[in-house]
This record gives sequence, structure tokens and C-alpha cells, in this order.
Amino acid sequence: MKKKRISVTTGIFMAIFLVLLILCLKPCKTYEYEGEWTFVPGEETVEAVCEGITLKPGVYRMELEYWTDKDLGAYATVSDPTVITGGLLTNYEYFYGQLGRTDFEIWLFETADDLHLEVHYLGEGDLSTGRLLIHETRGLWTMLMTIFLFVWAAVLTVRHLRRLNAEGKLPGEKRAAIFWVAGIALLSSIPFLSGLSIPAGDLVYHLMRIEGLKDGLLSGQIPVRIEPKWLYDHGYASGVFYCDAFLLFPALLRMAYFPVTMSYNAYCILVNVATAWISYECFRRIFRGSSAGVACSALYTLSLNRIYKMYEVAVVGEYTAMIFLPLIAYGLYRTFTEDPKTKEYRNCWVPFSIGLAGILQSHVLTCEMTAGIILVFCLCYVRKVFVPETFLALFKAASVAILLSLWFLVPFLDYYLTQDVHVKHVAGRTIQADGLRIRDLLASFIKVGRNAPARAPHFCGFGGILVLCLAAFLGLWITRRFRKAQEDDVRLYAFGKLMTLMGVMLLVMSLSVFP
Amino acid sequence: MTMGLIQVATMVFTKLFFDACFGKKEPRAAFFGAFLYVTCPYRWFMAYHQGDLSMTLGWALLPLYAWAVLRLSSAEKGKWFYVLAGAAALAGIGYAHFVLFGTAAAFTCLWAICRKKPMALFSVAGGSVLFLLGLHQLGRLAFSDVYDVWDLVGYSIMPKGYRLGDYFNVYAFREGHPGMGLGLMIGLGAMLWLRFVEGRKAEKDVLRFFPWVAALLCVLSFRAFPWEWVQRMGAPFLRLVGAIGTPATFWGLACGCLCVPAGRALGMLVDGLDGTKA
Repeated sequence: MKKKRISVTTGIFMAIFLVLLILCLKPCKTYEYEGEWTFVPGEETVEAVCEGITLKPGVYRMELEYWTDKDLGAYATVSDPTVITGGLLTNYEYFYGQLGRTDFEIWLFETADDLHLEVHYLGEGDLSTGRLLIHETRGLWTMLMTIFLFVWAAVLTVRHLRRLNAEGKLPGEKRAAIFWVAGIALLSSIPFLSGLSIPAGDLVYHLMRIEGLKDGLLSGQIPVRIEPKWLYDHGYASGVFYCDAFLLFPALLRMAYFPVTMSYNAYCILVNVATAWISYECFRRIFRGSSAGVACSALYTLSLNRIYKMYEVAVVGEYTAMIFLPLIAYGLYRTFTEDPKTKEYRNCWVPFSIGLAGILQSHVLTCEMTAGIILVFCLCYVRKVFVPETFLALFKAASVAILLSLWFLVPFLDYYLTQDVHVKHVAGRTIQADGLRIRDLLASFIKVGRNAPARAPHFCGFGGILVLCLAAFLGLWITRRFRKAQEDDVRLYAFGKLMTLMGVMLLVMSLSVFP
Repeated sequence: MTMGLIQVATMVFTKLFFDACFGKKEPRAAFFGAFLYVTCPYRWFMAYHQGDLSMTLGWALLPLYAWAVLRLSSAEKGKWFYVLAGAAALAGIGYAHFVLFGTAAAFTCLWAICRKKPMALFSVAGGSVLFLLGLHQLGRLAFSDVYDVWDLVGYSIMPKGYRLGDYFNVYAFREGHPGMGLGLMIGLGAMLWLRFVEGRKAEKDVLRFFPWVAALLCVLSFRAFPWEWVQRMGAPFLRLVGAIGTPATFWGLACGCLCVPAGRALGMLVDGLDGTKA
């Protein structure tokens, strides 16, 4: 009976998949409309050059011909008063003297009965418009196909977990861990499920990176080094200094015709899931306990600074790099606390190298700071560093990370060393004034309801909970309450003390009083 | 004063229903269920933010009606008392808010058919008879243009639907979309924990029925639910759906339904924590 039910479900999924596939391969039509209008210079006006357009739900590309002698003197957009809020998504596009036609997309999620193409003329230069071509795309079906494939993958995952559970291969501890980690990931992603985008500081830049990566992939560049449509289609090598590796996922969603904000939101949800799961696994292995793993995953994924970086500032590189920081902690733990003579020690460099490569390809500045912390660890464990097995593990970790990142590092270093780039002229910038004040250590969000550009004074404190945890740890340490822990696992205890000291040191370095 | 009385009535009727639901064996489940219902964000939003007296009265009478139907299903004697009580409560709900009436009546019929409890249908019938005046006005709204001059109906309600993230709001009233609140979120978490981690299944019919009703109501409140297609079926549908006003009403009812399994789950967890139950 159960096998029959599974076959029926599989059959239904296959049928839906085939229908969507056929729809994705359907030929697309082009609709032509008259849109001739001549604008009078000196008069700022908004004209609906095409009206009464009826379209079925779908994704369309709008191509309006125009003649103008002024760049950015007008822009075109689309509206329909009969469509509900959110039923029509579109950007606007400015007119440029050399281009001659618009090329922007609209997303219609319901039938439009009275679509207008409006031109907002800003009053300067000559402008006249010509015919309008509306090109149907396969966007609606590719979006549905993508959503369907994700749903199918989720169903297969659930089915697999249920089978494992039925066979007794999914113990209670594992089920509890899945429950808690999923809950942590959901909690940290709620704002991204609202279908809206929070206007964070750097959001527009990162949306442009996603668009640029999509355009680069569509133009045949693999890997994408130049964003081809930036700077009025002249191109710009943003990806050379700010690696786009992990933005491949939202770029692929863009290629499947998802709107860029939806692609970005999906990416952030994925980052939250990855952060929650990777941090759980790393801390579970360090503390050899699922509960500690869950607690650390919650503290890390829901930490004030990470939430602030994601929602208020939208520094994509930093919060992507934060996925890999627990791997660095785990790698350090294994490298400096495990017995180098054991068989398991031979692969202790693996999480380390994955973590380093991930951070390097997310955010170069985080990589710099991480390298500094690793150096401090090496100095503290200097005698261990020169044990042959440990030295080899560290060497392997660093070299594999660099090898995995060569595709990004070579052009990066080439540009940095040979070109006169802006970053070489900002060395004199001071950062002390941007530090936390001592009272901010216990604060949460300092300025509520405002977004923050990256170089603004701190809008986010350290948070009371972490300060209390730190104080509790220091108190227990000073009063020698960790005696039992010290006896059970000397190395973990020593590692914990060093991590605490590192944390306190980094905290002090973040204060505005630090010179 | 009136609002205060309605709040007191809500607490009394809620206690009546949850005690009937869980009996004397599970007092904590009854307490948590009642607590979640009384503190439901949607109910508070209606009562204190919107000042909607009729909706608040409807919410007060819903547990009384549910109590009557539950007692009807399980009692051996005095069934006609419960039929009359249910009919009166349902009529009261109808005069308060027709959407609550329609939802309660529809799901009662579903319960009666699925669980083979035909006596519950008498409650619905009785309630409809007592609500005849209201049904007459509803009929005029749907099938005549008498109310068109007020321009109250005839617009799409889809834009007022919930997005996925809106369900997880605490007490945020963005666009009139209160979420499930912290209590219900913890209760649902407890429910999922018991079901998927500890592998416990619901034993009672009522504990299986309410989550399914809540899921269906949640779908009706979703932004993507095609209310416009329903409205395009004809003028009566256009007017009736327009009169619903907002799909948020269904989400509020879903929260009310979820208080039952969530309260049970919290009660079971607390009982397990202090060792009072095996």
C-alpha cells in the first residue's frame, strides 16, 4: 500500500515535471504596439505612450524604440491600475542617447487588462518614442519549474528521513538536532519570507553584483571577471576584488527569471541554513555533545552582529564568510589539541582548508583578520607548530585553500600590483572613531529603524547575553570551578581558555578607546 | 464596559471549551490552550487596535459553540440542550460576523460528516434558523444591488493576504497582519517536537481535526490564494468575497484552531518536565 502510494506520488511529480518542461520549451511570441510620441523640451511631463495593453501572466521584455540626444533625460516604466499590489513587478529604465531602445523586464503574476507604458520626461533634450515590442519569455515557466524542483527535493529529503527513522537509523538526538537547527535557521530568516526587501546600506551594490554575474554568465564568461553591463555597458571588473563565487546561486535564480530581490532573499535564507548547520556540526564535534552544538549554533547564528550585518548593512561578503568561521575554529581545535600520532589527525586539515577557502572567496578583509587570529594561535602553540605532523597539517590547509582560490587570487593580485586602483589611496583612513563605546558592550541595536552604510558609526552593540556568558565563564575560571572539566579534557579546557582570551582581546580592539 | 464584559465572557467560554476538550486528566493542557486563545494576537488586534466589537463578540462565542458541538458528540444524555446551546451560540456568531458564522458552520458540517456525528448538523440548522434575518440580509447583499450604493464591496481582497513571513510576526501589525505571536510559536514548536522528535501521535479526533482546519484556513489567508478567480465567477461572489474584507480573518481563525493542539503539546511537555506524567 505504501509502495503504491509512493509510485502514485512519483507519477504525479513526473507528470508535472513533463508539463512544465514542455511549457519551458514553448516558442515565445512578440507583440507590437504603436508608441509614437514627441516630447516638448522644457516641459517635465509623464506620458502613457502605450495604453490598454492586455497580457497574460508571465515575464516579458519591454523594448521601446526612442530617439534622444540627452543621457538620463527620461525613463520608462510600466503600470496597470487593475493589477493588485505585487501583481506587477518592474524596474524603470533610463534613456541614453546612444542606445536607442529599452531592454527591461516586467513580471506579471495576474492578467493585466490595462497595462500602460509610461515615459517620465525630465524636460531636457529632444525625445521622441517609436514602436513598442513586448517579447514573451519563458520566465514564468522556468520560475515554476525551479520552485517545483525545490519542492520535489524537499519531499524526497523528508521521505528519506522518514525511511531512516523507520529503520532506526535516525536516533532521537539527531532528530532533535534537525528540529533545533531548522528552527534556528527559520527564526533568523523570517524577514526574508515576507516578500519584501529591507533597504539596507549596501543592498543595491550587491543586487548589482548579482545582476552583473547573471549578465556575465549569459554573455559566455566562465568565470565572470567583468560585469558587462555596468557603466553604461562599458563593463566593470567588480568581481576581481570582491569574489562572486557564492553569488552563483542567486545569479542562477536570476537566469531562471526570478526577480533580483527574490533571488537575493533566497540566497540569504540559504546562508542562514548553512550557518546554522555548519556551526552546529563544528561545535558538536568540539564539545562532543549535541546540546552544546545546538546552543552554540543558536548563539552564533542569531548573534547580534551577524543579524545586524545581514539586515541593516547587507554586507554580503561578511555574512557569507561567517558561514566558514566555525570551520576555522574547528580546524584550530583539531590541529592543536588532537594527538598528532593518531590516524584521524591526518585529515584534520580538511575543515581548516575548506574554511579558509570559503572565507577567502567571500570577503578578503575577513580573511585578513582570520589570518591574523590564526597567527596568534600559532604563536601561543608555537612548540606544537614545529611538530612535523602539525606543521604539515597547517601547510596542507593553507596551500589547498590557496589552490582552491587561485582562480580569484591571480587576477586579484595582478590588478592590485599592476593597476593604480582606488584602494591603494585609502591607507590613511582612520577607524578608531568607528569603534564601540564601552557602554555599547551591553547594548543591542543602538539606532533602531535606520539602515547603515558600511562606514557608519556602530549601529549595533555587542549584546547583553554574550557579555553575561563571558562574565560567567571568567567567573567560573577565576574561582577554579572548571576543575572537573580540566581533568576530563585538559586540551579542550586549554583551548577554551585561549579562545576566551582571544575573544576578549578582539572585543577590546573593537572599542573606540583602543589606540 | 461592553468590551470588558465581552473579554470576561471570552475567558469563561474558553475555559468551558478547553476543559471539555482535555477533561480533568490534562488540566495544564486546558490552561495553556485557554491562555493561548485569550492572548491570541489577532483577537487582541481586533479588540484593542481595531476596536471591532462585533468580531470580538464573535471570538467570545466561538469557544461556546465549539463546547456545545464537542459535548454533543460525546454526551449520552441531554443532547438537545447542547443542540440548543450550539444553535444559539452559532446564531450569535452570525449576528456578530458572517464570516465567522460561515466558517464555523462549514467546518461543523465537515466534522459531522467525517466523524459520523449527525447531531452536530442539528446545531447548524438551528443556528441558521435563528440567524435567518442575517442570512436574508446576506442574500440581499449577494443577489441584489441594494448595497452597491455604499461602495463597500466589489474590490479584490488578495492584496490584503498574508505573505509567508507575516505568519511568524509576534505582535507586529504591519498592514493589519498580526502574526501568530510568541506563545503560539512556542506551542507549535512543542507540537512539532512531540510529533517528529518524540514520535507521539494525536490520540483524540479533536486533536487531529483542528490542525487540518487551521491548515486550510491558513491557505485561505495566503496572499497567493486566488480570491480574484472566485470573485470573477459572478456578481454574487464578487460582493460576498468583497464583504469578507480581508483574508486576515481566516488566519485569525487558524490561530484560534491551533490553540487546541498547541495547548495540548505545551501541557504534555510541562507534565513531562516535572515528572507528573510517564
